[in-house]
Amino acid sequence: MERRITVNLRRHFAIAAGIFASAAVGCVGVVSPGEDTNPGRTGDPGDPGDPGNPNTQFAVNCPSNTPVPPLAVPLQRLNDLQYSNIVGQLFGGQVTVKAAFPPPLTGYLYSTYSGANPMGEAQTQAALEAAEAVAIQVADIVPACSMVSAETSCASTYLKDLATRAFRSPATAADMTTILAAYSAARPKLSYAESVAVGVETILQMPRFLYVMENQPTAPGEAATTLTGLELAQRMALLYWNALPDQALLDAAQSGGLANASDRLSQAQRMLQDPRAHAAISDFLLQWMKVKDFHADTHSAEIQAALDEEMRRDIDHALAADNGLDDLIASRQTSVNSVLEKFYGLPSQSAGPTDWRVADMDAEQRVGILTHPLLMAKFAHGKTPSPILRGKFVRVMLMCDDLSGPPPGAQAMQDDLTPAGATVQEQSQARLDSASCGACHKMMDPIGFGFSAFDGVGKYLPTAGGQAVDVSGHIESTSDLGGDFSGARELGDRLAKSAKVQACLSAQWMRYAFGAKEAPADACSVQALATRFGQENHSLNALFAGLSALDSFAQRRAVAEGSP
Amino acid sequence: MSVSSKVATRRNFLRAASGAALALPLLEGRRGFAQSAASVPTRLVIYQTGEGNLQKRWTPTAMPGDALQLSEMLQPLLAHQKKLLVLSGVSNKVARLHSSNCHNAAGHTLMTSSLIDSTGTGRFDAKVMVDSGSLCLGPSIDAYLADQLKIPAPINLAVGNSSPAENQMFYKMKPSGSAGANPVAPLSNDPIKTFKTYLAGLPAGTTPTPPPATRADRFQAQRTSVLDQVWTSFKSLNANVGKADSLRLQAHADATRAIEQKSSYVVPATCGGQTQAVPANWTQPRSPGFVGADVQANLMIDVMAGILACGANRVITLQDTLYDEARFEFLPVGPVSGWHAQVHNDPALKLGYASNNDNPTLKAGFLYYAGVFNRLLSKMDAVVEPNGMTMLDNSLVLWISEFGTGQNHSMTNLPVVLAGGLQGKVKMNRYLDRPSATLGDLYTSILNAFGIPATSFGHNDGAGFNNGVISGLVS
Repeated sequence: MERRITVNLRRHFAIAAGIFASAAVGCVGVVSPGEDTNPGRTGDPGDPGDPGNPNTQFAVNCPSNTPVPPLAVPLQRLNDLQYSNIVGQLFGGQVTVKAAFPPPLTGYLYSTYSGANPMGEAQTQAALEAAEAVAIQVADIVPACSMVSAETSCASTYLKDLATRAFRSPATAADMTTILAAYSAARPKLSYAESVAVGVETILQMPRFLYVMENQPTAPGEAATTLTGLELAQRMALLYWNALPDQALLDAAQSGGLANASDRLSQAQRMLQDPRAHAAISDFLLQWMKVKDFHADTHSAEIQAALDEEMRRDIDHALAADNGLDDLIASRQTSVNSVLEKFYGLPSQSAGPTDWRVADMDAEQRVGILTHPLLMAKFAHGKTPSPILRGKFVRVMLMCDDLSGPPPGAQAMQDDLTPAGATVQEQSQARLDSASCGACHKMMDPIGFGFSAFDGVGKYLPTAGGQAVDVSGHIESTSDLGGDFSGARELGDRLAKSAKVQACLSAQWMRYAFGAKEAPADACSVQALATRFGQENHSLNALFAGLSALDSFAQRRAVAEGSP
Repeated sequence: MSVSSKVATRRNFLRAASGAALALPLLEGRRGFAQSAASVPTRLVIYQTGEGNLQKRWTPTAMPGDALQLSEMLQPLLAHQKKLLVLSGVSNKVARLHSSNCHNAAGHTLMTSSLIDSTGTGRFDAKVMVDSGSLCLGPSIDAYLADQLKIPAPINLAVGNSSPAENQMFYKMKPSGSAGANPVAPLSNDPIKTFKTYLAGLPAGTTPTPPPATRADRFQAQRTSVLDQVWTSFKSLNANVGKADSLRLQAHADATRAIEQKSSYVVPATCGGQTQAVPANWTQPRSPGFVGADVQANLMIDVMAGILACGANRVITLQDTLYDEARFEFLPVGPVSGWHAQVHNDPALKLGYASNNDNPTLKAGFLYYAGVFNRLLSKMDAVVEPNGMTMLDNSLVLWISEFGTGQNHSMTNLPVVLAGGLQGKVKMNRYLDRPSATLGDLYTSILNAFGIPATSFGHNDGAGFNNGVISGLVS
């Protein structure tokens, strides 16, 4: 790496070094030092039970002439969108696909985490029913076999071709034995086409279809394996498109082109231009902002729908502008329709719910997605705003610092601190003043104070009782973010320019893409990606594409035991 | 005809029992049916119960013109009297040639009328005791008929046990010199499995009356098979992934297996206007007690009727193997303890009854068997076939037992009831008493009724084991 992100290169990355950097903080209830012991759930705001490191830094001494270690990628299972897209591709869009799996388990940082996608009986049953529903439709489009005596041969040819495409790699003799056994068992009772479809149903439930299979070392410490062209094509197509590779990608894979980082980069850039990339990138950003599929029950359906659409448009706008985090978490513009004009108290210019316009808003009111009403409502308890959750969100999702969950009995401790009827502010102050609570809460609450002008449903209320609401806050940090600030605008501007946040975003994208939190050995991969992000003027697209260009992307090492 | 010429030749039997024939019963069954689509197929169904019957109460009173007047033990069959022929006097002489505990020889020879390989070397020896696993040297009537008709091997079903045991009748036939051959017909006591094997997901257009199964039904019926293959496919994968991922795949494979094993959906089959279905949560009666043997028997009969009506097979036997442990816990006299011993102790003096056959437990038990047989006949009579006759009319149904009187293990005067008439080949609503008839004669008659010109069946050394077709039995 020729250049590094700017901050704190030396002190860095306590996690990577295995040093417990938060010792000085003295948080109550901090659990074990070093690596997280609650894999997969690290840093989920509002989700207790994680040991913390409140001063994570993404960079270590990663000399540019030293190979970056490969990544450990847990076995990933296709998600609903991937399943649906791939089935659509396999059958030329002639079948409709229902949801293949129940929703991912919550409580994980990203829905892509393997722990969020177990295959217990409920999920396996759902996959069975989805495959069966597909097969029932496929029975109508199976090509006829010219001769009865050739049926087994016809079925074998058709199913082998299909399995090879479905598996993203050639179907083996063992695969075909399995698939044809299901076909043969059905044939005495079902028609030829139906029996072939039973073979299809089998393919759609086989692990080679449902999981992203890559050759890998089987034990930690074994030499890393280099991904084949087809494996690289599979990774990229599933990441950017949630789909099978297209011909151009397959051609590149076959010709060995994907082994080269710059060729992977140009493929990734091409793929990001494709509309199919939008779903993946939006999904990541919505999950990063913790508002994916979030519905505030405090809003009417009409307002909820308008807010969802506004969020979608905000993200699209930021991706189109591609000016780093500025538009995403610091823009003062947003999109409104008639519903939101009323919600925000803007002049009525929209003709109705479907008539959207870009509106310039009060700079304090609109700080990109950060002050979007959905996000504000997400970090609230009902209609009561929570400076803890708002601060923890910034700390964990934007700064990538780890925080421990509340200690046992935290609520009772709070009750002892303040009398019944205390305000939110009074409760916070009491926590911060308490020796046992303050050590950790000073990492969260003072950041959350910056959002005090937003109520629990996300309404902007800058004054209360004729007085301006106190929005002064503080970021306790040794990074470029540390220090006092006033209000969400100053906070957002500071976050958008922060190298720490940019590095954090790089890490978050990797976590999302690989479905796991980085291991200590991945620190230099994170840094390499963050560096590329910086070199490209913090272009979001450069960040998203840059992941594929990492040397470590083209290899994999064994997944440690117990990984999520 | 003699053993050495055409009757019961082992080569013929082997062909019927070869792996291919057994592996594809349904496929061949459909083809066999299609070939005879112009005429309605005939069927042979055999119901076997143990321990004979209560002779005094079972034997009908002789009436002028062979008219049938149903006896006390046959009263449950009253509704079908016009489709019944009761035959008394038939003896199993072959069994008497053997050294046996009196159950094994009688049971093993009942369907074969054949000598038993008591030595285990393919050779009969009168001095060597027949044990529970001994095989016969010739085929059973059901297997032989199927072979002669060039239709799939019979389906052999059981109430109670299906494992080889004492008195496990007539399903073991060992062609001599057939190294490696497995001559033991598979005996199933699982009606659900039988249903799935022969009926689940049967497509429209292959049966007398197409079942209404939808495509969704047919696919659902394949789930067990599909999941089994999916489960298999996990096994070859684990070597290629690390331990943590391997554990995840193992959990997935386990879930697949669990669902497969729980998968109990069985598509109902409708043929001949009758819908046959089996319950999802049925459990197999098990020793001791065999609780629920009545439910098992009823399910078996439903499945048999379905298989026959849908054309999946034309020859089926059902054996109640609980000759020893029958509990009849579902009867007012139940649960019965020591059914076998009570049969042996039937003479009145031992139990204090006024005359033989007065034991109400024995009466109830044997009447129950008649009721089961009646249920089978009713099921078959409910199916109207394209020739305007019922499936019962188009079939020959035999109810027989290995003893005449269970108390003394007599192998004379076996209780024989024939039903259906086989499209008029056997005139019904009659009682025939044929004291000189043998088991071989009975089966020779059945073969002739099916159009097979046999003159003997089973062991035939000229010493009275075969007399040909029983007088007046076949038209």
